[in-house]
Amino acid sequence: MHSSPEEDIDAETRTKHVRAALDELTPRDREALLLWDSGMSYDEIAAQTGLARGAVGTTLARARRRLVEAYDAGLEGGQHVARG
Amino acid sequence: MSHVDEGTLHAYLDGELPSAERTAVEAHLAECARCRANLVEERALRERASALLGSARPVERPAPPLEQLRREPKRSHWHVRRSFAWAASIAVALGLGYYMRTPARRVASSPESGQRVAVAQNRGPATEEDKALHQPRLRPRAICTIGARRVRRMKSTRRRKWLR
Repeated sequence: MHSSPEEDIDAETRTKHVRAALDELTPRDREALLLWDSGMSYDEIAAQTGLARGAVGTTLARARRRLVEAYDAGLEGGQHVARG
Repeated sequence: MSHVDEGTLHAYLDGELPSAERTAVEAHLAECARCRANLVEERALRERASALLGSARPVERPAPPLEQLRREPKRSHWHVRRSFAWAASIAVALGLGYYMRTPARRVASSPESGQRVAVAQNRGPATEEDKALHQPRLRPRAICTIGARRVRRMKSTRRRKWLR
């Protein structure tokens, strides 16, 4: 199965927007989120970042919310540019 | 228990809450509609974030799997070849050892063997007959203590002597 060129462009655009959204996060939030995504446990993330273990959940909750918000905002901004 | 904060909800969803805390959270969720609604919301947020990161991941890890597949067989092929070489040299050494040992067994099982043991126990001056009897026994010992390469060299030297 091959994806159509439109789907390839969409995937590229999505990746670009995700990266832009990650850049919107604070370095600590981004690091915690990427470490979790790479398969680390809360204990490992705490050891790696210097966060208290109890703060990892809060950090990830904030990082996830900001990532999604920044991504959605980036997509909306892109649509405005395309329309305007 | 007071309402569950979003950090605790995420730790719960990530399976990272200690069991005592998890039990308390679950007990609270069972009776608090507001926290259950929050849980649904945070679960959706968590899944969305994971999906976004997942879609960006292949570009962030540009190591092509095909390249790895190309590299690996070469290395494993060499390992297999080396293993075969080791197995072959051990088999050759064992085979040679067994081949050279056979005549010694025949001597050992012969009627003179009892006499030879008796002579050996006497520790007297070795007669020519004793030497002749002992000679075949020395062969397998030599094979055991020295490598197959040395045995081959010994055999070729012996062959050269016979040719003269």
